[in-house]
Amino acid sequence: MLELRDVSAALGGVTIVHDVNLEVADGEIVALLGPSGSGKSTLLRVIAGLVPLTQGAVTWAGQDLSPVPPHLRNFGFMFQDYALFPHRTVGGNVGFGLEMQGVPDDQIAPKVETALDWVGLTGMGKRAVASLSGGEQQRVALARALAPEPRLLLLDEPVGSLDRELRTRLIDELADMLRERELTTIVVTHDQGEAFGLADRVAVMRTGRIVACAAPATLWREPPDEWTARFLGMTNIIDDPQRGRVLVRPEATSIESEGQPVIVESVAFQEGRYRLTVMTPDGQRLSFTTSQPTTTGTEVLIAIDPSGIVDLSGRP
Amino acid sequence: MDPNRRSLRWLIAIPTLFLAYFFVYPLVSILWVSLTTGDGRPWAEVLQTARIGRVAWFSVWQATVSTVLTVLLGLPVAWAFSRFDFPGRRLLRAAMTIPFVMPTVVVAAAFMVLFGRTSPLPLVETVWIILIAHVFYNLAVVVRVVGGMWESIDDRLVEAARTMGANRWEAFKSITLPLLRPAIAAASAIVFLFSFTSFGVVLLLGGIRYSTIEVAVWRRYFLLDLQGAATLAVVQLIGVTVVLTVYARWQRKRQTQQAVRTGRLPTPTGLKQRTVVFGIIGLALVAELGPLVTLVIRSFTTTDGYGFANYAALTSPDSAFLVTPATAIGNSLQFGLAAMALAVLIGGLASVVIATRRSSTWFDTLLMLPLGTSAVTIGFGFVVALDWPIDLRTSVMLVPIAHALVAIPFVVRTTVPVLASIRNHLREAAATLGASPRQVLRKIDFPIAAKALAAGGGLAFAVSLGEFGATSFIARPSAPTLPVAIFRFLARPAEASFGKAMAMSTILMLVTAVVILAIDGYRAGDL
Repeated sequence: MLELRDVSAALGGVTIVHDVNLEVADGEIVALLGPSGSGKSTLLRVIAGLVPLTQGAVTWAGQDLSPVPPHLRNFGFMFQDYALFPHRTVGGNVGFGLEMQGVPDDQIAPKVETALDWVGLTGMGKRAVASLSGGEQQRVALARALAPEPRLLLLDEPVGSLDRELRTRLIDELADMLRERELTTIVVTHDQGEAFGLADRVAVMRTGRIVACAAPATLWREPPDEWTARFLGMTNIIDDPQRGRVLVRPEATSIESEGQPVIVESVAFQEGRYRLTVMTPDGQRLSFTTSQPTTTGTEVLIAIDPSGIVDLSGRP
Repeated sequence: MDPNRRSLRWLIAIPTLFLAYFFVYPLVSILWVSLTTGDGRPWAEVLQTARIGRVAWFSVWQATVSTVLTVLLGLPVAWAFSRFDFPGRRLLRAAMTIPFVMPTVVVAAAFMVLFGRTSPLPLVETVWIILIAHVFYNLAVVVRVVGGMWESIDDRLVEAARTMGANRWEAFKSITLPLLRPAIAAASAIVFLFSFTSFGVVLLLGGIRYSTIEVAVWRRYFLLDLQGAATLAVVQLIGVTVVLTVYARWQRKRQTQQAVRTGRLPTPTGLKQRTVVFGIIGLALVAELGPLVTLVIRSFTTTDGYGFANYAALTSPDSAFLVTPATAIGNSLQFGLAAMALAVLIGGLASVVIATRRSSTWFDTLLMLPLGTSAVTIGFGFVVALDWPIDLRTSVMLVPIAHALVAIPFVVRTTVPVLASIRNHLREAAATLGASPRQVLRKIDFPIAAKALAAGGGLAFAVSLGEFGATSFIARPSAPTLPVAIFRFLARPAEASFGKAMAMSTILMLVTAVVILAIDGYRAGDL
């Protein structure tokens, strides 16, 4: 089990990570989700031992890791730019960690082949890394991190440099593989879809701090504050006269035969339904989808299911 | 982090001490000799005897004319090679650069065949042969430097100008030329510097009437006028420093220039364009390779037809020399290997220091200085200074050390960019995979930089083989190098000597060409 207690870290004298507390259970997949500059990559590098702590402790199974240099931690790290060794073949890259562990040469080859099997690159060990496509490079980087059987896998934007379509597919594959092998994993991403699709728990980071940490469904259902809600893509945030700032879940709003009158501001046809943006009489905007066709400028009546209203006030 | 820093501190010590003793100290000694009137002559007399004004004027004058001619003749060639694609373009362009890397004695030997007293065009010992030789030597600089820039200029800029009513010439004048200006300026500075510091060509082809400062240093030294030679060397250093400073400024401008080109170069189309493009390239190739071919042919020419007689004669002793020419070849190869080893060691260490530092420092400047200092000054400095604290002037290592000094900048220039381009992520990736800092150096940094280091070493070997300026001061009579032997044979009028000089020049040329091509092959293999 990995444990971070009050971890702070600085780069060039500027504190990037502030007082982070986090536990990752064996076999658990945790995503560090945040916008760029939120300190998530630095935190990952702190865990790998590539960036020193300025405060706090990182422990593995109770053992303090601060005196342990990166090369003795046996944490697999996958870099966003893959960092494949240009002077080595695919096999030479994947086998590097085993070589460093002192595994005899004749045992390295079959292990490399197995690792390449896992990522769907069977038989490509002899290829030069420069000849690979972006997606293939990503898989080689993953196989390289997996081959030495690390006790913890650290993935920095594992699909961040690829195009959208490939990204979705690789995330699904990655999730399957990590679960199948029960690999303890921390994955850094700025894309909430990736985080939610991969992780058991998502830790949302903002300016160096973890502001929320929960299972994807919980986080989605009850974002702790307005910033997190907006970051996760929930924009239906209005002022409620009784409760202050509230989030209105899109699925909680519907057009009814009686209810509050609103003016339709825009209508967009989207995946078989209509996405409406409406304006309430007190000038607040709401978005939701409906199957009912309407036209811009008309008045409709809406009702909001109270269970779909999340209170955001009173929280930081 | 910290232990790395500490080890860097002693890494820096070896190159620094080497350069301090073998470069800075001799230069200071030259300055000292020039300022102390050892033989009691008044200062004015020293200057007058050495004819400094005349020599300096000729150096500047011929370098200026050489530069203008080289740029004017080089521009069309650069255009033909950089604006069009055709089969064999890279190979032909590489062939164009062969003369540039040839030792001066080889070029001088070839020109003696073409323009010797008995040839149809006897230009030796006129200023023309000096100018022609400088153009011949430096054309490749213009083709490479200006052509490289020209190739990257976006066609659409000129097309845009044409749609706005500019004709071909106006578009060239108002768009292409201003974009090329930094490259032309940089190339001009290089050509000027090489012509200004020209030694072997002027000494061998110019006769006694023409002297650059380099040649004058050599002549004053062998006339035992140490102070005159030293003063000339100081004047030379000042001149070189001025040119290098100007060049550095232009070079910065060239780097800030943005040039974008997308898509492939067109092939020449139409009879007229093809005639022009291939005509230019054909003429340039004949001019650049013809003399070298002539040299090879001449080396096989004997008094009774063609044959290997000139080569066979190399193994027999010659009355005027202590050793056979074949021994000189052996000396050169040994010196070359020693110089290569030294240059790779010192240059490699220096490269690690430079690449791991953020900003450029006095250290970078110190390392690059030998590149701008003329070889003659280095050789002269050795004989003036290296009798203290122990007399090294008769040491076998003196020649390799001088050659290494000249070659270190080449090693540094090929190695530093590669080391600097290794992203830190690679080292971190290796660390997370279990590699200790030492293993990272051995498994990541060294293998990636090894090719560059080898290429730098190859260059050092080639430089050492052809080095003449410094060697002419320090080579012991009992251990001449190949260029020194060629020089001595060329200086003697007998036909047998000339034949041997041709054979040796051909050997030197071929070995140099093979080394240079091997390095080019390395680089191509990288891509």
